[in-house]
Amino acid sequence: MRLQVVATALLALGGCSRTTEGPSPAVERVVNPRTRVSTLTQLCNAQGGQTGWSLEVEGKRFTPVPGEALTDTPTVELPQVTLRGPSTYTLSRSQVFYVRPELLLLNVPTRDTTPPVELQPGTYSVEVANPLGGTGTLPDALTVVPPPALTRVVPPADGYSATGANPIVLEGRDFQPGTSPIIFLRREGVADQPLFFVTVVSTTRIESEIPPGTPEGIYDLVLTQPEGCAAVAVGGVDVAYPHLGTLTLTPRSGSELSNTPIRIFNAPTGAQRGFTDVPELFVLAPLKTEPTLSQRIPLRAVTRVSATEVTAEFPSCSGFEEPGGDPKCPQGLAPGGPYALEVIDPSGAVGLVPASEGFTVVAEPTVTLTSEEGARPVPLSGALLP
Amino acid sequence: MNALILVALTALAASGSKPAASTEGVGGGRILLAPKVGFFKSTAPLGGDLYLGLELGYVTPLLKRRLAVVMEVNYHRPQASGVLTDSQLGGFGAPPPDGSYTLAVREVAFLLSAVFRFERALGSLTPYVGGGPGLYLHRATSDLFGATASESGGGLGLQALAGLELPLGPGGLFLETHYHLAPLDFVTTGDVNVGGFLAGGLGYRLRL
Repeated sequence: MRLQVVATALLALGGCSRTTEGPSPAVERVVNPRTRVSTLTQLCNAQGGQTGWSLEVEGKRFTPVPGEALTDTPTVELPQVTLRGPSTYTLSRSQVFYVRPELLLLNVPTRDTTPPVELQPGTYSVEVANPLGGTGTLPDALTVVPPPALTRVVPPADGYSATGANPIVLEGRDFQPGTSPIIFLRREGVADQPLFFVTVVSTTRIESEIPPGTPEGIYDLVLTQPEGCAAVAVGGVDVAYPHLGTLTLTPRSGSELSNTPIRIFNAPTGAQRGFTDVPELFVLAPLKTEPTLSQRIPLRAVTRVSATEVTAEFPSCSGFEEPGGDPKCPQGLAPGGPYALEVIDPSGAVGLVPASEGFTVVAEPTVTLTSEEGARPVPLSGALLP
Repeated sequence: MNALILVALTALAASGSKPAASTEGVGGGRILLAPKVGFFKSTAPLGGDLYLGLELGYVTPLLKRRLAVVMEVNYHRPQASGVLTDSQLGGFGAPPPDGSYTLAVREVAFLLSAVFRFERALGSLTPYVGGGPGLYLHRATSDLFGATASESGGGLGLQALAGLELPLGPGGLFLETHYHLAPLDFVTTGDVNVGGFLAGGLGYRLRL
């Protein structure tokens, strides 16, 4: 009788305890898709849009199971992912995506997502628990970093130059030495201007250069860390070059069928500069081949006569090509205008002949003479401005 | 499996402790031994399955020896299948994997019933009804995305039965039906009653 009681009690205890069996996952690598080739996986604890930053968890035996399959609302029970480090966060079901037994995708929230979750900066392990299996953990899988902050953009000591690189210094905090952030200048209506030669000197200093030829204006400077977080110095860069004097040119028009020799006069006053050497000259005009696209076409045979005068050949016929080609000038400038001219002095000073004072390319008119022999086109020169 | 062995030992011990009872009873001995087979259909969305059982009973002297106490061990393993779709499968532009799954729920139950027998109430036929508690041991095995996982556990339930026995040889041929209330709350199954009806069971009951 005593044996029966003991046996029955053991049976009841053994029968009622719940046990699970299933593949035990292994976590092998955590990847930030923005820095896929990097051996160090970083994650920013801010920004990230509505859902946060994406992460990929690579491993083995990630095993979802059917959930509540015998009810009216069957689901998929997914592996549970937990980040353990200076703070601990278990991702919700909606933040975990199953792709295959070797890959999970995560949306890791930040302090700027809804709802906000701020992971403390530091090193985290990533733990994956199968619904009916074991748990796999990868220590030191991830480094959570704060977003960068920009406090100041220091311009070149000698001011900006239109002809050379312009070294600038970014001051702020939480920069990441050893990484290659992306920096660009942004201004409405203008394509973003990337900066090259970026060096992260320390967590508070980045050195870079604004490339020559960057148009004058006030720009926002956008710094984007490799893991995705960005900082913006609104209006932080004011590109302003020294200026030449008032520029005028003569003649102000020429035929579309020939290049036109022109003279440009410079009348500097005050801090304005004269020509120091042979400047670069450009006309902003469309070509016949692309009449809707205004392009920056260099003038030819530029010669410095004096600090106040240069001569050049306006490329009405040749466009970007060498002169002496097809006499009908199919590669030349589209007739029209007047077109503006840009002037860049080797000293870094710039000047502009505005379109209102610019150069007009005159079309060669054709008229039809009627005779007893029938119609015959006769080319006539257009009226040229002085 | 250990639980099964334990129960078998328990049953043997119980039967072995009353050897004198086999010589008494209505129309024969007081010990009942009956294998049975039938078709079980759960009220949960599980398919039907073969039901195997073994009954060991004792006809008590109570109620003019019409009351029997019966212990039954039975087994069946129905399964369900389907296709799961979920926005969390695939994602980030990745195509979702094939969500076809199967879920098999193996049940081993130990049923203790009080059975009232209406001896030869219908000519030579003996109808009987009964019911009592049961210990239901479940193991749910799922197969999804090529991986198999399972969870096991058990709990108490209730069951009722009715049958009709025709005397034949040293015992009786019987037809029987059951209803089981066997609650189950696994991750894979949800909170459901995986019990249901034994749509029809056929067996032969020996009187020893």
